[in-house]
Amino acid sequence: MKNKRVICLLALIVLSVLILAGIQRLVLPKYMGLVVEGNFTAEYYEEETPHDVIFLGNCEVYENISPIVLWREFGITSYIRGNAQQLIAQSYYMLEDTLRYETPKAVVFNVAAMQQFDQDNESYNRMTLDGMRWSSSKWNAIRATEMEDEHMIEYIFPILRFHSRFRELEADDLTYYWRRGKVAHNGYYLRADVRPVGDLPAERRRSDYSFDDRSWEYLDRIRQLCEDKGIQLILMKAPSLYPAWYDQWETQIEDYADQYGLTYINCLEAADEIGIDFTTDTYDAGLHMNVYGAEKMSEYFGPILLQVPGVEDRRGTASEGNSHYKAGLSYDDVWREKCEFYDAMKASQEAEFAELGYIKQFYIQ
Amino acid sequence: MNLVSYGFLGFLALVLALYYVVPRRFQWIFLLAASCVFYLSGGPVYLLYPLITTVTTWFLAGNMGRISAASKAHIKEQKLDREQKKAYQAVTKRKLRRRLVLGLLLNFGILAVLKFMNEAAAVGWILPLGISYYTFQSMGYLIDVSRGKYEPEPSLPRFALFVSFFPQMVSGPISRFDVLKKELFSEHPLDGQQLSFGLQRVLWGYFKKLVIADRLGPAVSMITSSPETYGGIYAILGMLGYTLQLYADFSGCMDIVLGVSQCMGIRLPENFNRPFGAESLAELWRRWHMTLTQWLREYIFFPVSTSRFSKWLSRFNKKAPVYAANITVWFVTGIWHGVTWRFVAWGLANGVVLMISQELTGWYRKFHKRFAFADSRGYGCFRKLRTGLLFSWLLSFQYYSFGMVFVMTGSMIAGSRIGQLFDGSFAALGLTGPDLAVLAVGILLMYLVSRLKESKDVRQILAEKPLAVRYAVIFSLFLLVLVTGTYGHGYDAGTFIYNRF
Amino acid sequence: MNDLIEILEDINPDIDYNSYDSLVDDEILTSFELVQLVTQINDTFDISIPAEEIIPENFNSAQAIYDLIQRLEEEG
Repeated sequence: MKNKRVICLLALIVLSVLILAGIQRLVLPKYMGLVVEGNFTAEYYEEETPHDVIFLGNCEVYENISPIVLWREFGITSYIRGNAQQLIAQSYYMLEDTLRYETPKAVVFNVAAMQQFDQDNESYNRMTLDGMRWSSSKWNAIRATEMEDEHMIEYIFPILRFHSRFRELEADDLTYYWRRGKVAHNGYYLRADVRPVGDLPAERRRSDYSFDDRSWEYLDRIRQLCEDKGIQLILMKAPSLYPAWYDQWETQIEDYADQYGLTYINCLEAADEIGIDFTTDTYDAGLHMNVYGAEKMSEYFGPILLQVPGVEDRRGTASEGNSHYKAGLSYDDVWREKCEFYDAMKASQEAEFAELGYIKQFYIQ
Repeated sequence: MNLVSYGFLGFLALVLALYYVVPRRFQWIFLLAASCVFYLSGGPVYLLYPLITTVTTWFLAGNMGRISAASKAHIKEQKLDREQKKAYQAVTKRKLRRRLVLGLLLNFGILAVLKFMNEAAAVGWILPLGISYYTFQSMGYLIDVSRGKYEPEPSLPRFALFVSFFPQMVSGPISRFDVLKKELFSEHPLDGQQLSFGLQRVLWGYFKKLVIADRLGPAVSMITSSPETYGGIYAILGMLGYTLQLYADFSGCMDIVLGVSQCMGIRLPENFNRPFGAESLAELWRRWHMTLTQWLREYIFFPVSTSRFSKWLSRFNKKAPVYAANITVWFVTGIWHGVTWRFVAWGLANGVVLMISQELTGWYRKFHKRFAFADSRGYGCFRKLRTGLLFSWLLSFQYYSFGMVFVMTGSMIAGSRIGQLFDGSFAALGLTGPDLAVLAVGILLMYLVSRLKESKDVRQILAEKPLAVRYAVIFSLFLLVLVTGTYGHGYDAGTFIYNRF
Repeated sequence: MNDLIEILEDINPDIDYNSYDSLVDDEILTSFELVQLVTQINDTFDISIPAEEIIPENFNSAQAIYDLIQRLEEEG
């Protein structure tokens, strides 16, 4: 009799948890429409082979470098762990998280995030952090960057954050209930539309050009972590015309790179050398590169990355295994699939843009 | 600490767990410590004012207790005759009175200054949570002791718990010491049924607050704050919405407070008794915020109506004392709710309506004798409806200026068209289809539960059902709160309307 | 006692005051009526009922009210 009661209670508890999990899955945003950035972080965990190069940063990396071209042209295996407004602390913990699965040869960090340490929009935090697998890194990333009215428990049980979406459920919430579609190409966000640079907002004068101490602290931590793991750290600044990148900032980063013997590449200065044409290579008037700009960037970056010891042309070879990745997978096979997905998306966007002048998925009425 | 916060839920879980772990004779000490933590979470200064009230009230009451005791002893020892006894008692009474007045002036003075500074002068002085509630409760105690109703509490920590017991400190109910002390200072073994009933009531409170009140809130305040834009049928909706929101918010808060206390085996006085089942405004006020109206009745209405001033007044008109007391009570009620003319007008308007209906009592009786239908069920419903509407309408004195109340009343009666709902302005209120559906279900549920409660406690009915049914009902309610509750990002979490008072 | 019943019937003539014993609890006497009653008793019996004596136990039945009056007259 007593046993029966215990079994009954257990069954009810299991049932409750299942119902709660089911509802939670339903109300979570699926990020399959206009905004797809919320899926980037989680896609990383579906990789089958390790990477020699990891890119870290915000939109200035995930829209400006194409890992597919790096593979196709140079045989470099790379992944971009970047998100919309990914803060430097988040980049640090994202690196920590990555190191649980693999140890790349080079890490490229985009320094634009130095200028702003605190988050100003909660949904960016959610898009960056929700996809992370649970570990001390995720916990610490949340702790370091949560906004005043955010709560850890809302990350542990996202239903507490997203329950209000019951009012705006849409077809996507059912279509992608079990599985979201793949949206990025090794973290790269592909856009094949074109919007030339027009008038940019005037540069605002600042009273203080020094970076936040906490930004420096996390840059140090990234550098230290790379040193400890024998990873070469490369600093970069993407060729985005806006938001402005001030000379005073440039000097500080140059000095830092000199001090620690790091390579620092300012692609904004090298734009001509890279061959960037701001009338054709951006999709939003100079803020971000489109696929044409990103491909040029990748061609420029390939040779630089190949100079890093251990970054090699992996074409025609099989993967080395580690505690996470299976050994012996053919890189060619794995990447062929990625290339096909990339080419198909690029072709369809190009066709849509040629016909409509915009891309339906990203068109705001 | 806000009752609607993860922090409070965590705090509650911890307090409940420890409450049944600590030795039972220390349970009240543990509660005092928990109450201090609860209050300190706002910052150390928040503890200052309650502390002043606690210490001064405890000290003065103790002092009065000693004077009364000494006086009684003196009379007994000296074997005074009747005249001497009377004279001596008068001296004692004067002494007690001086101390009482000192205590009242000090504590109501603090309350008045802080409230006035915050609300009327808008100076951002710290207004401790629930200051009106604990001040009224403490002063009730002081008056009772001065009347010799019960002995003062000798222990300062015990008295401190009476003032600061954390569930009730923020928004009442206003308890009486002789009743509450039996609950607070006795030992409470873990009682599964009490715990379960308490938690169910807490959940029900959150349901009323989060699903109904806070969802109505933004739309209601849009309507009530801009009478120029929202007239006609919107003014009616705003009036009903305001009442519903106020009820769901405040009674929901009380459900949380009483539920939390019940989890600890402590019974607090009820503050609501299905107010909208009342058939007259006077009856409604005896069922709404009951502990406050009882307080006002006992410590203001009766004293004022039996005062020397009232006796003098009664020479002119027999009913004058009642009316003087009535006006005083409703003036205080107005001020209690907000130090602005609008609240004063609202209080006095209630008082005036009550006086008028009092004058008409005789006429009513004749009406009921003459027409049999007046005792029918249908007429009873009509009276309930009429009373609810009257109460709602009077509430509009709180959010419209005095003149505007009458302008808007005209607009409601003459300017309401159903078509107004479909001209696009409804959408501007921000209530989408799903919001309306949730509101409809929520309000219906609240009504049904209230009807059920007429005959039997709903939790009792539930407890007699099989486990699967109980589970389904409670878990569904939980899901409803979890999913459709107005909390967290995507909504601006509102604080309980009544916290301010 | 008869004086008292007269005053009570003045307030509400429909009640049988000789047997009713929950005047306050059943809200036959609400605060308005209580004060009216107290004022009239004070006048008629030349006593002064203090506020703290206005409690349900003292006013639930005609007998209780009468007892109260007598007590106050004695103390008077």
